[in-house]
Formats: sequence, structure tokens, C-alpha cells
Amino acid sequence: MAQLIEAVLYFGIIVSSSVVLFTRYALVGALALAVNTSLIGFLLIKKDLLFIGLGQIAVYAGGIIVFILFTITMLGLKAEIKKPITEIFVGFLIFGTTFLFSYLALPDLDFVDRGVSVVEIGKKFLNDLFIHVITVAILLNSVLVSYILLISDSRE
Amino acid sequence: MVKFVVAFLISSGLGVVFLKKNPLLMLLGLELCLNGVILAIAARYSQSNFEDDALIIAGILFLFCIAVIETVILATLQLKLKHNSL
Repeated sequence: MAQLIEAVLYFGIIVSSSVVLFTRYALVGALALAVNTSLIGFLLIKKDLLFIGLGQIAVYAGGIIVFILFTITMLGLKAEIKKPITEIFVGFLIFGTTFLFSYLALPDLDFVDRGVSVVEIGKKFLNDLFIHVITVAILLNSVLVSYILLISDSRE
Repeated sequence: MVKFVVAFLISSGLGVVFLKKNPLLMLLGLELCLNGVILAIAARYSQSNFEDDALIIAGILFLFCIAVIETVILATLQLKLKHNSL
């Protein structure tokens, strides 16, 4: 069962990153990226890396990607025009070579699986990590406030 | 499997950066690359014997840096796109 969940998570990550690569709509791309980020966060939580996993979902997917979505909806970006076949070919060439080189260059990466239950996540979150997550949230709030101030300044 | 996913994320991110014309979509590509890097770092962390506190402080600094940098990039892009100077 655990392996099945892991396989589904990996599959979801690959599918959502492909959607970002192939879509012509900015909004769909941003939504797929939010899904991608959240799935990575779930994977990290499942592998017992609770703080980075929670931060990934709460701060990165919940904060930064929402900023991007907000900007895209505010600017009202339209779909990109269809590309000529040569450009698509060059894109695939870039994708293929980068994939090959990064796969060959990366060292053996594997998680040391310790396994974690939902109850443990709750306990750990409330007892140990609560103050840290709150700290990140406060820091992010200050960034958000400065962002809004900057936008309102530019409108005047 | 992690290695494959990391390589896929980095290469598709770079593909997005090179293929898309819109700077906001290019930013999405950079985010994909960053996701791959985060996954790789996390996999390395789980193999090592770092102290928990050091990991948490590093995590806070890392996330905060990402938040600040992304916000600055987004605000600049938004201002430039509004004035059609890109």
C-alpha cells in the first residue's frame, strides 16, 4: 500500500510537470505547478521530512504559487499562439539533452525510509514544529504586506 | 526513482524557460527547476546525520529567501507588464 501511494505521488509529479511544459494557458500552468509543489510536499511528509514538507505545502504552494496565480489573473494573460514545428523540435532537443545530462550527473538519490503515521505528524507539528511554522508564516506575512504596499504605490 | 523525477523536473523546467515567450511562464519553469532541487536536497538530507535544529533553521532561511526573491521578481514583472515595457 505504501509503495502504491509513493508510485501515485511520483506519477502525479511527472504528469503535473508535463502539463506545465505543454500547456499554452498561463493559468493552467500555474495550477499544475501548485499541484506539483503540493505533491512533492506530501512525498516529503511521507518520507518523515516533516518540516520541509509542511513548509513546502504551507509556504511555497500556499503562498508563492498563490502570488503567481494572483498576478496571472490580475494581468488577464491570454493563451500563447501555436508554435512552429521547428521551435517544438528545439524544445524537445533541449529537454532531452538536459534530462540525459542531469540524470547522468546526479549522484544516487534515495530517501532513507523511516515511515510515519498521520498521528505522528499531528504530534510532531503541535509539539515541536509549531513555533517554527508560525515564524515562517509571520515572515511571509511581512513579505505579503510589503508586496501589497508596493502594488498600491504603483497605482497612485 | 527520485533521481529520475529530479532529472525530469529540472529538464522540463528548463524546457519551459526556453520554449515560452511570456516572462511569467518562464518563472513557472524556474519554479519547476527549484522543485527538483528541493527534492534532491531533501533526499540528500534524509541520508545524512544532520542535527534537527540546524535543519529547521536552514529550512526557515531557505523558505524565507525563496519567498522574498519570488515576491521581488513578481512585483517587478507585474509593474513592467502593466506598463508594457517587456
